[in-house]
Formats: sequence, C-alpha cells, structure tokens
Amino acid sequence: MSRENILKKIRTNKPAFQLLPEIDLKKFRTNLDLEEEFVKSVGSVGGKIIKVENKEEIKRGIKSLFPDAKEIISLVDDVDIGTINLGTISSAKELEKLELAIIKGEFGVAENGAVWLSDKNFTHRSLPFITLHLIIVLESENIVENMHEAFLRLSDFNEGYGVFISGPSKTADIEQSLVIGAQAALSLNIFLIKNT
Amino acid sequence: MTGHPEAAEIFNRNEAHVNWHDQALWFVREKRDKASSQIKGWEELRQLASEIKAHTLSNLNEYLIQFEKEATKNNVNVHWAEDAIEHNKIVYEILQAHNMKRIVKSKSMLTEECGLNHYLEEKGIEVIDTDLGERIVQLAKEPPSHIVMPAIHKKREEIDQLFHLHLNTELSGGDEVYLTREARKHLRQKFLDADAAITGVNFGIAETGGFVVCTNEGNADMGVHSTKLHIACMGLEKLVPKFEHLGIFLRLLARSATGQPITTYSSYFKSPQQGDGMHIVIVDNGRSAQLGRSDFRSSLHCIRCGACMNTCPVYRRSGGYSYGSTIPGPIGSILSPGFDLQKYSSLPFASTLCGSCADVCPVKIDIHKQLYNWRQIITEKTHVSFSKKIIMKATGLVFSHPKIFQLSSKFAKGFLRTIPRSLVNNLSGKWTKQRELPETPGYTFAEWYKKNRQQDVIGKKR
Repeated sequence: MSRENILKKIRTNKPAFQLLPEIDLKKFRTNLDLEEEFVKSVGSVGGKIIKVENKEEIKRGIKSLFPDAKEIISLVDDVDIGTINLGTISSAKELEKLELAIIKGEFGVAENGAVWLSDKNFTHRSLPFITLHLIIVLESENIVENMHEAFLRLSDFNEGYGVFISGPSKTADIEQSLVIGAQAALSLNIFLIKNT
Repeated sequence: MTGHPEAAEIFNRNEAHVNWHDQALWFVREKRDKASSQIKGWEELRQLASEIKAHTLSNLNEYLIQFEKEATKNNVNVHWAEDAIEHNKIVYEILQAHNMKRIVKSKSMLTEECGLNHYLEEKGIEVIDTDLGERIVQLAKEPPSHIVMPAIHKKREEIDQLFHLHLNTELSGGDEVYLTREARKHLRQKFLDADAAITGVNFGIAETGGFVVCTNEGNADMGVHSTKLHIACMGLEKLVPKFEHLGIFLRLLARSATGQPITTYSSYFKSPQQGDGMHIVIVDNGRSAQLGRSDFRSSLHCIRCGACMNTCPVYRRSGGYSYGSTIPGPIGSILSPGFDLQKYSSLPFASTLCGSCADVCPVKIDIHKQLYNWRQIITEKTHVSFSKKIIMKATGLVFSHPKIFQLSSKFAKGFLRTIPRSLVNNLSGKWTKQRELPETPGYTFAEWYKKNRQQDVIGKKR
C-alpha cells in the first residue's frame, strides 16, 4: 500500500533526529503603538480605516460610503442595516448579488493589517469573499503586534475554518501592475471602534 | 536534447523583452528587500524557519501519521500517492464518485508537477485555473513561467489579445483594470457553476490536521466555499509541527515572495462546512528519495516563495521556460536533477554560483552549494561534452601549478590581443554569444600588483 511504502521510505531516508528550536518572542517585540501601526498597515495593503466612537457612527459611515447599496448582510449587533438574513441562505449562488457584508473581526495584526475572522463570526464561509464590498467592525483594543502574538491568541482555536484578511482582493498578474479587486471583495473598510 | 543554454538562447533573441523581464523581476526583489528590512528579527525568523523545517524532516514519518490522524478526526479524508500517476488517479476517482465534471482550481505547483489538468481534461472534466496569472497561461496553453507570478513573461498586449480571443473582451491596449474586471466576471460564473474545488497547500499542521492556503485574489476561497467538495493536494514536505509555527512562516512567505507583509488571504481549513466534503492527497513523487540525499535534503525546506528566481541573474535573463522543469530557477535546478538526472543535467550549470539565491531564501537553503554539488555528480555520471572536459582538465592543471599559471597568463595576454575576435568567441563557446570580452590590458595582474601594491604591503608590514 502506498501509505506504508511512503512511510517506510521516509523512515529509511530521514536524517538523525534534530530538536525543535526554542522560540524567543522577545526578539520580535517592538515598542510601537499598536493602533497607529495597524492603521498604517491597513492603508499599505489597500484597505481603509474609519475610526468611530459608537455603532450609530458605523451605520452613518456605511450609508455615506455606499448610499445605493440594497443587498446587505450585517452580522454585527446594533448595526441593523441588513436587508438579507444569512440564516435563509443555503448556497453561495444565493449570495451572488450581495453588495455589502458587515462582519465583526476578532482581532487585528499591527504588522500586516490582517484581521482574523472565523466560523464563529459568520455561518456561511463564502460571505467575506463573494460580497462586492467587505466591511469589518473591529474593537481598537483587539489589536496584537505581530503574527506570533496572533497565534498565541489562537492557541485554543477549535473552529473548522478561519482566515486572516489583509486588505481587499488584489492581483498584479498583468505586468506587475497592481489592481485592487480581483476575484473576491473589491474593497475593505474597517470600522475601528473604541471599546464601549 | 535541448538544455538550458539552447532554450535561453531562444529567449535572448528579443533583447528588449529580456531587459524588460530582468527589470520586472528585479523590481520584485527590491520590494522583498524593503519588506524584510522593515521588521525586527528577520534573520532570527529565517533561522527559526530553517530549524523547524530541518526538525520536521528528521521526524517526518511521525508527523505525517499525526497529521493523518488529526485530519481524519476533523472529518477530512486523507489519501496517499506515491507518484504523479497515483495522485491524478485518486483525484479523478473522488470526482467520479460524486459525478463531478466542472472543477475550479487555485494555484498549485504540485498539480502542475503531476500534470493533473491534462489528465482530467482527457477524461472529459473541465478544469479552470482561477488565479488570474494561471488563467492567462492556461488560455495561452502554456505552463507557468514562475511559481508565484505565472504570467510574468507576458506583455499586456499579448494578454489583451488572448482575452479578446477567448473571453470576447474589447481590445483595450492591455488596460490592466479592464482586463482584471473582465476576468473577474468570467471567473465568477465559473466559481458558481463549479462542482468541486481543487487547491494546493502552503502549510499542513501536524498538531491539528488543518492546512493553510494563501492567495491574494481570494480565488482559493471563492472556489472552495462555492462548491460542495474540496480536494487539497499537498507535497509531503509541506508539514510544520505546530499551529503556532504558522506565525513564523506566514511572516516570511509573502515578504519574500512579493514584498507584501502577508498575502491578502491566509485561509486555515480544518474541517469541511456542514454537508460538504474535504479530501487531502499527500504526495511523495520523489520527495522521500530527495530526503535520502544528504547533500540535497534541505531543498525540501522550500516554501515556494520564488525569491531565488527574482534575484537570480540567470533566471531574470533566461526566463522560466528555459529550465524545462515545473519549478524553474535556482530551487528548480536543485530539485529537478533528483527527478531525472539526465534530462535536467544542464540546470545546475545555469548559475553563476553568486549565492544571491541562498541570501534571500527565507528557509536558508544553501542553493548555490547544492548547485555545485549537483555539478560534481553530473560531470561524473552523465555525458559532458568533450570540449568542456578538456577545458576543465587544462584549467585544473594550470591553476594547480603556479609556474605554468604565470607563463600561460603572459601568453594569454599577447594571444588575446593579436588573434581575431571571432576566433576567441568561437573558443569560448556560449559565453560570448550575448557579450564581448573586455579589452585585455598590456600587463598581467601579477605585474600590475608588483608595480602598484607590493611596496605598500611590505611598507606596512615594516
């Protein structure tokens, strides 16, 4: 059987056991301001940050950014501007015309502007991708410095799926010219809200 | 048989195109430099990544078993393939069992290596590559010329023509925004109509049985979440032991590849969405044999970032196709001879051994040393041209005898100045095809040194 053959070849061919290295996270720590760095990073990957004080400001902000949006799913409490109930959706096809998805981000990463979303935050996995525009609501205290800290936070993660999203979908496959908006969301707006 | 020099010669016939290709890749190399210098502890990260990979290889059988056990617990079906043929068969049988005919695929160099598209198409299955660059080369009926930027060799006007021909777009002079939007419309339909999605794997995690797929376009996720079945194809060297190790590798990968701080999407798949199916095919195809070659073992550390290609003076000026292997460039030149020594015997010579590839490698593979080591084996085991053999023997003799060296350099300086240029070029083979030898000065280095520097050195010593 292939499994046994492969494992046998590996046992025969592998080198002598080598220890895993110790990882000293102090080597990667800086004293930079997390929120400031996060804002900078999101900008550099093509996303936009809107700082707000409360949920009302988020609603107003979305209205002014996308005044004509009709097909909206909101999964954020008190940002009750959704027009479609995700619970009624059974396949990605039904989300084909979706214009706005509003999702709560669990935490952001200062060094690269990524936000972690998982099965906890949305029930249909295609939601943050198939939507025309993605809106993430993130509490400003939920920002970690780098990817090491991010995985420390995820040490007890036990969902079936999760994703770091850093900016809107993009490509540079035509002569290295950057185009924002490839196969997934055309834009990413992050509402950074002071913890209430 | 065509080797690298012959294929590179064809690429070099269009000098303007070569210069453009060279600069496009160097631009990416510079972005990598900027990104890597912006974070604290870059060198420590490379060292850790290298040591984690070395550790993983030293315990690989156990980690594969652990990965399989955990993945199975997560409701994922695990398959094992010894070679490309078995891999293709497994994928086909899964699709056939569900009667699935329309497939969307995100970038996977492994499926390129196995020739999966061709295999499935012959059986009447439609496979659409969904990364824009891959879709471009698929429409052109070409393989990728670079592992991260598959269509880096193509000019915008060519892409304009291709889309006009296949996707009925207007001719736009190669407007990248227009073409990308048109591709988006075309691929949206393919995603929504597809039965199943195939992806590669960037990292498999032994501890959890989950795996990570990285894209900028979101095409892997669009495919997987739009369909009922996900097949992930993974080379067996892709494992890392722990979930937290992703922190290290995700910091290195995109910075090394394109100079981005991270790819737009880094998706972690552990179990299928309710009601859907998920399969992982673990593929050997020569990797366990490479594990047994101690001089070349660390080539299995590779995380496929492509940094060695972007920096390589030979790759930049000869293009991905000149290598004739699925993985081109420096890393391809040390992986491919393990598959077929005769077929890829010219690749380890497609290098200046400058070592730039090893300097930028995020997992510290000593690529230039391995290129050198392959040369020793190839010279011994395969047919090397008579003229190369004689030249090497003569050079060895001259360099190991100082008296002969002095005499011959004195002779050479006169010789090179008096005989016709065309004869010199003929004698030096392909080296002078695209370049001229510099004018020879009227003195040897030893003579120059004696006159200009020796006094200084002796003076300082006193």
